[in-house]
Amino acid sequence: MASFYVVLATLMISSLIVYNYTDTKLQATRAKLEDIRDRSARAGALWEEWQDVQFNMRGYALMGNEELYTQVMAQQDKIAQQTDWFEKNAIYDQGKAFAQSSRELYQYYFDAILPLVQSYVKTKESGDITESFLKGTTLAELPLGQKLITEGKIQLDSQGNIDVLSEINKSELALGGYREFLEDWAQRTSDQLEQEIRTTQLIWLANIVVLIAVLIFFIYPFIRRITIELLSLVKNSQRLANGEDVLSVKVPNRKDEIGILALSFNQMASSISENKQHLLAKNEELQAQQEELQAQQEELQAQQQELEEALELTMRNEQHLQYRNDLTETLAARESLTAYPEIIEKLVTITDSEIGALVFVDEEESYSVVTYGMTDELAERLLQNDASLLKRAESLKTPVHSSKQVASNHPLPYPYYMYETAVPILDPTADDIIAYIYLVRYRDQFTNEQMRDVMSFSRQLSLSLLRMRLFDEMTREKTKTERILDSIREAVIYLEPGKEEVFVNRPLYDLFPELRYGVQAEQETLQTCLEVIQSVVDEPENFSRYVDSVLRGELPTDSLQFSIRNETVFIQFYVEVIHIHQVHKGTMLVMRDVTKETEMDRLKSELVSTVSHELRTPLSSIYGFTELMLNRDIEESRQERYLRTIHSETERLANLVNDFLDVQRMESGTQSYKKTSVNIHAIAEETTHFYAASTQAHRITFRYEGNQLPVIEADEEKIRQLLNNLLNNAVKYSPSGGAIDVVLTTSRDQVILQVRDEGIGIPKQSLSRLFEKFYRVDNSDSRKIGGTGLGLAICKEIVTGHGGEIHVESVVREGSLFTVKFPLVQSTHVTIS
Amino acid sequence: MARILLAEDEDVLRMLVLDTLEDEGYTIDEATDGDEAYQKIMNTEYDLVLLDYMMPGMTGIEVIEKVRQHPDKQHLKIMMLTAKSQQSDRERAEEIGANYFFSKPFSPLELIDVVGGILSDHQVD
Repeated sequence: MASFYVVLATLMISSLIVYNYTDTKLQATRAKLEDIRDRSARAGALWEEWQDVQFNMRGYALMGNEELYTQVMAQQDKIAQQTDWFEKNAIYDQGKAFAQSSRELYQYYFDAILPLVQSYVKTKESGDITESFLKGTTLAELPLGQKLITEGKIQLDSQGNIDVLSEINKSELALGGYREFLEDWAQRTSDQLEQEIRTTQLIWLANIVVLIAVLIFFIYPFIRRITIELLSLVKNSQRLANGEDVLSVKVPNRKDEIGILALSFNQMASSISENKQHLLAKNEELQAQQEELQAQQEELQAQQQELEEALELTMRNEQHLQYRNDLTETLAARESLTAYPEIIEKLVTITDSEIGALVFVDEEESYSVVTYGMTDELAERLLQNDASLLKRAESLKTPVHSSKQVASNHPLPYPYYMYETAVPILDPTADDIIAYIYLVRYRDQFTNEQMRDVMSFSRQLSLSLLRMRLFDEMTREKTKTERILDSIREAVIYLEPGKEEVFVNRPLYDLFPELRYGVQAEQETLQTCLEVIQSVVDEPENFSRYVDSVLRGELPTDSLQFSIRNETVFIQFYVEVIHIHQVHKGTMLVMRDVTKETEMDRLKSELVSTVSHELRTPLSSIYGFTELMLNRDIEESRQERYLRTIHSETERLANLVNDFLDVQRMESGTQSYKKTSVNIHAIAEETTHFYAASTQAHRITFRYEGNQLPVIEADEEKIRQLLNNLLNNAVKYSPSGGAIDVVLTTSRDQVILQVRDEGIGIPKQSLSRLFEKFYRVDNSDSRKIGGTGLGLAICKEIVTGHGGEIHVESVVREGSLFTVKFPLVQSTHVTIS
Repeated sequence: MARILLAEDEDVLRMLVLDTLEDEGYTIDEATDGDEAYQKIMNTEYDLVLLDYMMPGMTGIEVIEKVRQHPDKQHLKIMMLTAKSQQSDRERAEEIGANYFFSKPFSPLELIDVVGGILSDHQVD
């Protein structure tokens, strides 16, 4: 390796030297060439200048232009410079010759010619010379010219002109020679240069070649070794890659990357080989296992096949069972009625039939049918046709089968067989048929299994139908009972022992509307009912005590009377127990709305109380005064007073009794009127006058404003009573006096009587109840006045009994107006009383 | 002589009682309704009050109740005159503080006797 570097170094250094040398040489030659060209150029330039000077000189000589002279002077300088240069720097002979000739020319021209010309010009200017064109002879004739000629600086030519040309020609010649020489020299130098360049190139080439050779010489073996080793590795790798067995490569004794690579390769190769063995072994093992597995798999498949078959069978059975269950369930459910189409469909499916029907017979022996797969026409025939299977089943009361060859083309292309079966379903309690099952198959007969299905189904159907009938009957009965209970007026709660639900009827809801707002069901619970009732009962303790004893079984002998809703409704409550065959079936709680009766009773007792109270006062006074009169000595005036009092009190008593009796009669409806046509003008007037006379505190007037006779169909006595009541009230209820007006008038078809007072008036809230029996306005003013509360009730009774109306208007503390209207009678027959 | 208050709304009865008792020499004040009766009782010392049960304004019962609330009227003798004669009414009257009970119709002579008896007791006290 070291020698390689040495050689390399040597080569490089020598190259450098050679480079340097050739370069210098080339440079010199180039410089030389330059120089030659430069000289040539200079010479050329100089000559140009001479040409130019001549031109200018001629011009100057001709025109005498000072400018030209100046130019010539400048040019002279330049030429002088160049000529100097050549003189100094001419190397070659030719050059020197040229320099000399240039110098001579210079001297000739500028030292001689130029001054001459200058003199010529000056002379021309002064006018001494008048020629337009320069003549050479002229110049020679000039004094300066003469001088110069004498000095020998100028020559004359054959014509006597100044000889300029010969000098110039001389110079030109020299120049030409010089230039030629230069050319030649340049060419030679150039050739030399080329030669040198070529030499250099060759040297370079040689250099390179040597270099390459050296490199190759040194490097090649090195590379080759590596290449061999690499190739070996490559080859082996390829072999390894291809799967051949490769053990190892020769490891070159090198410590570098190739060595490492080779080592690694060996390791890899051995490792791979190992793995390969390993894998092969494993592979064999796996193969063995795989064969085993395959065997197992085949076995499993065989088992699976078996299972699938079993499963299919199970599924079929299950479906079969499912159908049967469905049927059973459907029948068991209460809504069987709507499910019959489904049922017959299922039955047809189970038995693999084509068509089927369920025929029902009701209590009136009429048929209804539910079909599957049958047309209506077919169904009709089944029911109506005497020869149909159904009829045979009916008469035999057992299942019947038939098979026949069908002669028509429908539904299958014939000939085909049709297998029918009709199964009657009997009511087990009676002996009559309640339904039929009818099925048809086309292809083959019904199997035993299928028939078993049908028979079991028919039994179920029978029970189901019966149950339905019973249920219907029960529902009907129940509805009947409900209707009955709803139709009575009493509210009923019927409870059965052990059940929380109770039966209630409609009147209970009427009585207790709150029940409706609770859980709405057909059944209420006892709890809810009692709760609701108790919530509105005025005295819940009594009620709950009564109920508790009932529920305990201690039946009260009396009914309970209680009120609800703050005594707005009164209820009579009693209990009845239902026994059937000595068994306690249920208990009925009955509530009767006795509000009216209670009210009536109350009113009656109030009336009696009021009347008796009212009776006592006159009785007291009559009794008292009479006793006084019997047991004391009373003076006469007092006696009279007493007697009058007794008299009026007796009258009061009598009136009271009469009123009371009137009311009783009206209550019991035994009041009768003796009606005739009566002109009530007179009655009204009379009554008014009577009252007017009886009181001094009041101004009682009567007025008639009608334009017809106020004739009505009436019981005169009753009308009097009416008027009396009204006027009595008017007086009684205006204790501070005032006016009382009685106005009688007629309209088109009515007689209108009005009684107005200026008394204490009637409160607004009392107006609607004023005509009620025993109703008395309850304020301090009215209570003071007293009364039975019957007066206006009697008035109303009378007025209504005569086909009329009575109204009241009133303002408290201002007075009241009572208006009575009767139908007017157009009559010529009038009773005037 | 004893001073008696008569509270009665019926004129004829008032006249009866008045005549009956005045001749005996009692001084009789009259009241025609419960409120008037109450006022008079509070303002005057009476030896006996004859009180009707049913009167406009305050009823006799109400009057007694109110009167008995006053400590100084605890010993005031009150007799109820009433058309109500049931046992329950008597009991009620006694409960609230009526001392005597007289039902209508009554005999004036009997009234004189009873009133005399009451007032003589009073005088003795």
